[in-house]
Amino acid sequence: MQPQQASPPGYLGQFRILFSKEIAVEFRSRETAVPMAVFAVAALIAFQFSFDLRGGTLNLVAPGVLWVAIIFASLLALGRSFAREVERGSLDGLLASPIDPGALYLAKVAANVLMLLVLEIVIVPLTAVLFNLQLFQPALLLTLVMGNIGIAAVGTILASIAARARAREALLPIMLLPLLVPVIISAVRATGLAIDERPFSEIQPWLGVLGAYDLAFVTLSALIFYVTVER
Amino acid sequence: MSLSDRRFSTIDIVGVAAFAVMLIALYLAIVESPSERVQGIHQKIFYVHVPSALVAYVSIGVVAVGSGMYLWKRTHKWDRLAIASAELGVILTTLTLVTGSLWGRPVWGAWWNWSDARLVTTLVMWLVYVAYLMLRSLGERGPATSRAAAVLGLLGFVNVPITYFSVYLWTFLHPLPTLQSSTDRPESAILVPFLVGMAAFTLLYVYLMAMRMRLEESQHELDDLRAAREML
Amino acid sequence: MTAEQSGSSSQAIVRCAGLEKSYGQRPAIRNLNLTINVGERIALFGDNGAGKSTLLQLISGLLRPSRGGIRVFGGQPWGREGAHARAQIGTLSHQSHLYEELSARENLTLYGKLYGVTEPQVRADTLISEFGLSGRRVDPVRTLSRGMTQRVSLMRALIHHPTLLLLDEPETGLDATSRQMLAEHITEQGAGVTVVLATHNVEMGVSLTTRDIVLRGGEIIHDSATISDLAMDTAQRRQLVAAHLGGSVS
Repeated sequence: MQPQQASPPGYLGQFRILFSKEIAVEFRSRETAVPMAVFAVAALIAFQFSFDLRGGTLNLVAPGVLWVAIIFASLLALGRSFAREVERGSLDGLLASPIDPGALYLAKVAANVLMLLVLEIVIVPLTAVLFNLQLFQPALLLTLVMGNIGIAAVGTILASIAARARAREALLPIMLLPLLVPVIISAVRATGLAIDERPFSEIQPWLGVLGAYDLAFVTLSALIFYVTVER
Repeated sequence: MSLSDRRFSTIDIVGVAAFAVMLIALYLAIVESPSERVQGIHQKIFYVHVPSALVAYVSIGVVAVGSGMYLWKRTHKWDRLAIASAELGVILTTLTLVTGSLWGRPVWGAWWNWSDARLVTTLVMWLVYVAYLMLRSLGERGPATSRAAAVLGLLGFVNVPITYFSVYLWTFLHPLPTLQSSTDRPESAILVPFLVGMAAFTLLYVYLMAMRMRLEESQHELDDLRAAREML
Repeated sequence: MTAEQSGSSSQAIVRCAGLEKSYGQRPAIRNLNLTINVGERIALFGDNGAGKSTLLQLISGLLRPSRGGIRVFGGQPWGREGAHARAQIGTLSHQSHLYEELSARENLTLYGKLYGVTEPQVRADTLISEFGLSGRRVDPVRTLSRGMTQRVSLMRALIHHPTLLLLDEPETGLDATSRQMLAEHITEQGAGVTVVLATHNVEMGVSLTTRDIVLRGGEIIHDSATISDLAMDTAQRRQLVAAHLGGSVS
């Protein structure tokens, strides 16, 4: 009568299942992507009037404006991704199942990378149109993806720490922003060089820094993430 | 141990030594060391700035060791090591930033120089470990907060070289006007006061670490006693 | 299996030795020793804060012990190494563990996949019709009533045919029909299925199980298995449990 003991999926299988869960939940609730995009657009408008983004200085300031808007918007997504699970107790359901928490971490990182990409699909063309910039460069796409991975890698593990702490809304940016300094520096530089249509060899060192950052933090965080959800 | 038990312990000896060596270091730096040709008397802050910076970096390394070992062994002594070293690290990086800034004013003509990779990295490090202390103070005392802090301690440590390299690359590819200081290769007249300064800061660090860890241990015992009393 | 398992007197699937768990400085479970054998149905009683939920969460691998040992199916249940043990455990707790935006079917399929059920969607549909929710199976869980949500949670616990079922006050929020279904499910589980049921309802707890444990202040103050080998009837068991529970009030 009882079927033989089922065998739970391995690390990659768990990652796939949990990643589609993240996407399905977000697709239903639209609790994160929509507020994020609206926030980023509002931030762009605020920057326009703060920095007077016209004429000669535009190419110098625009990359920074774009990345500050992305990083501030990402704080909304990152904070929600764990707070929601902790509040409802759905995280406990996952942790009581036979998964490796590392797979859960990577699924959340992948979902956050995708969410940031969706945000960028909205605000990058908008930045190009509003400020009349040449933003459609292949090197920029690469910069965006690698920057997103860096933000999501550190942001996801810190969000899981902040989710159980007091004053989590303040704590997450306080911990995250200094750790993101290398991402901010290299993503802004690479974006600036891409806008100026410089050769790829000039952009490469910055993508190298981003790659090293992504690799270091994704690996370290996937290994120690289980500690942050342990109780 | 009771308070009346006042024999000299190793910690006390280290404390006295730190005090004595610090006095010698100050004497050597202020009186004995030569005045640098270009920078004159301003260069003398080097004897405080560089030792405090180096010991600050060591203390951040000790936070990482304590954090990693705590996550592995889960024994409270490693957590004590991390928390004590993080607090001293913040104090030492603060000292480094202030002395660096004071030194920069006459030499660079500005309090701050964004193109100095070491200074910017130190500032980022300072922010990370201030966040670390905030995480600890906002959390309830206990293993959950210790684990969270240990994770941040490790992430912050890995961040240091990447930050340094990216700021370095930034100034290298995008140079700003700087005046190179000529103290990179200290001669023997400079070397001796510098090494004594290093010894002074190292002893001070060891002494304060020992005191802070003892305080943390007492706090831990007190928490246990309070919890035990509540159970009755 | 492991040497530890074969070495035990009968087939123990849960072994706690000197088990302790504290939250911050506050101990919730203190020096607890307990062995649960295959096929036992245990009722766990105790006031709020006595440690019932903590004990269930320790067994289910959700909590890491502060001190002492716990072995479930011969291994540690928590952390990465605990996946083998957790794969055989079904849990029902105060929280639904469900994603409100997803339907009952999607929630159950998700967990079916995570537990490695061979045809998760078929299994989900079977359970949904068994529990009489076929009409609502594609509605988001958010729109279901408290009782219906609790039924879906119970299905979630059963989706992978667990051999150890941990139920934390399952009767709360359930209507009469659902309670009946729950009772049937507990008593009709195969002989190989072990059940631990934490409850405030002495009547229900005793009638559905074969062994009583009463917790107070994180310690076991009554275990019907240690009293005598003589079988007690339910009335005697109720009396004993009530006496120990009453003692904790005064």
